Amino acid sequence: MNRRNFLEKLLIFALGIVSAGVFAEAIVVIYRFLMPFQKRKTLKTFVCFSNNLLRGQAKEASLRGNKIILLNNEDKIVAFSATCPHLGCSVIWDRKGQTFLCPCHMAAFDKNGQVLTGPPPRPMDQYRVLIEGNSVFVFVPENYWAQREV
Amino acid sequence: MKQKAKIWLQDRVKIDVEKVKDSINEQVPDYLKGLWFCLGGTPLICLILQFVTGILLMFYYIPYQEVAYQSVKFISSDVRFGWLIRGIHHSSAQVMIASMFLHMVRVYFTESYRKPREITWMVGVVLLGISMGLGFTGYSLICDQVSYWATVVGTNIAGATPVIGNHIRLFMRGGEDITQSTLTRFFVLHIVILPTSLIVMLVVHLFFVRSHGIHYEEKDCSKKGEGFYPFFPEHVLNEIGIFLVLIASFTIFNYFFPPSLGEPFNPNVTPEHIKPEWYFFGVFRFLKLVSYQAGILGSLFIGMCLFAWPIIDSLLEKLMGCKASKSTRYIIGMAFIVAWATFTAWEAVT
Ligand code: HEM
Ligand code: FES
Repeated sequence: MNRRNFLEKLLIFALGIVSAGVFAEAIVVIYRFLMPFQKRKTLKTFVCFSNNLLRGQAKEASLRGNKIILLNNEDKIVAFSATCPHLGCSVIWDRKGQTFLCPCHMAAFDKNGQVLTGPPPRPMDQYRVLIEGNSVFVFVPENYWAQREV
Repeated sequence: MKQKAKIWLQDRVKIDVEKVKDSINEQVPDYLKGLWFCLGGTPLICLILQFVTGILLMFYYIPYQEVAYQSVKFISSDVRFGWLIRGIHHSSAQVMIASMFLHMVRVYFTESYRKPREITWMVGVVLLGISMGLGFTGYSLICDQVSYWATVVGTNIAGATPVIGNHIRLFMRGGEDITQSTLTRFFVLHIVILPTSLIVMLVVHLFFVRSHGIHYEEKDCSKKGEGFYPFFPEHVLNEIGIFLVLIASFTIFNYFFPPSLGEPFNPNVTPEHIKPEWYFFGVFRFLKLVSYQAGILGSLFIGMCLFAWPIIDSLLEKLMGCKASKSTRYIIGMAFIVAWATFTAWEAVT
């Protein structure tokens, strides 16, 4: 192999390496660009006044795209996610039975969100609640698109 | 094993690999190694980048007037690498048009548009027109102040064309004013119609380029060496080199100067400085210099001359003879470039 030939091969080799690098880089960039990321920043969000929520009463609300159920459980206000931990249907509060019911696969949860019957693998999810004076706030994750509902 | 797989494939996919290889592997004259002659490949590289980044942008862009601006802002500031994808789409559009201009200049001064390559040139002018259309419609999509008012002015200019102007404006705007209807139209043009036309015309362009071979300059070939080299791998390697340089430059540039986004559009307030993209500067300045109608007609006339140049050129030659027409051609070309560059620079500094 003469010198010129060798240099040419070396150049092509280098070009190949760099191209492969750029290609790999592009895959990473495209993957990260397309992968929606959840900003886990939670925001304090006003829901209602506490004296409007009587003992044993529940209130549904949609906060920044998060569906929640606010429950006055023995004078302590708690916020559950209305999304069933099984496959994501919306649960409803049954005031008479003091249970949450999911219509999809007949699940029932008690007022602490524990599974009574049905397939859900874990208790209902909860959000942090803050009472300031008379106002009830819930900390829910920010959700870019839900805030710009059209 | 390999042989078997090859036969299996060949029995099913009835394409003669050798023939395809042969047709791709055309011999290219040595002077194509010169950078001037790679300029036809550069817009193609940019176009590929436009497709990749454009499709990626479509995952987040919302063509709805009230949120379009927000969605572009979201791309630029929240989506990971959004600045890079949007930035490459923007820079690559600029370089695509710039390299098309330069490609044309090289074709002009090497007289490569002359018989039998007239149609290649004409298709090329159409390609330039489509690309400028892509630039104009794309610019409008972001719905910030400058982009909104550029749309207003641009559609009004088209609307001043004698006789059919009003129809063109109504058609472009989808109504009397710039509304959601306009955005929808521009979106469809930018995403579907213009890119598809561009590809079709490009295939035609490359077909003609290939069927005539690269123009071979008789008088200069002794200087540049009479050799030929194969299209693959040498020429392809050159293009890969250009690609790498481009993508590196775009990345570095956009890292330091991420694509900008002005205030959201406001139909009630016209900002002080509204400017189109730089490649419209020349025409824009020209329109300011002469009366409205004369400006439009003049621009149309120049466009038509550009398109029909190979025909005009051959007429000139018949009238003036070979030698005189050669210098006339040179002078016209130079004058055109100088005028255009002056107008562009003038618009840029005012
Ligand atoms: C198939 C090809 C293409 C697709 C799918 C596409 C898609 C898009 C989308 C969704 C946008 C809006 C997002 C943004 O502003 O960043 C956009 C903007 C834009 N496009 Fe394209 N595009 C394509 C080809 C082109 C070409 C060939 C050009 C120019 C020659 C071009 C020039 C522009 C420009 C100038 C903008 C405004 C960019 C900005 O200010 O950030 N596009 N395009
Ligand atoms: S989704 Fe609620 S029980 Fe299945």
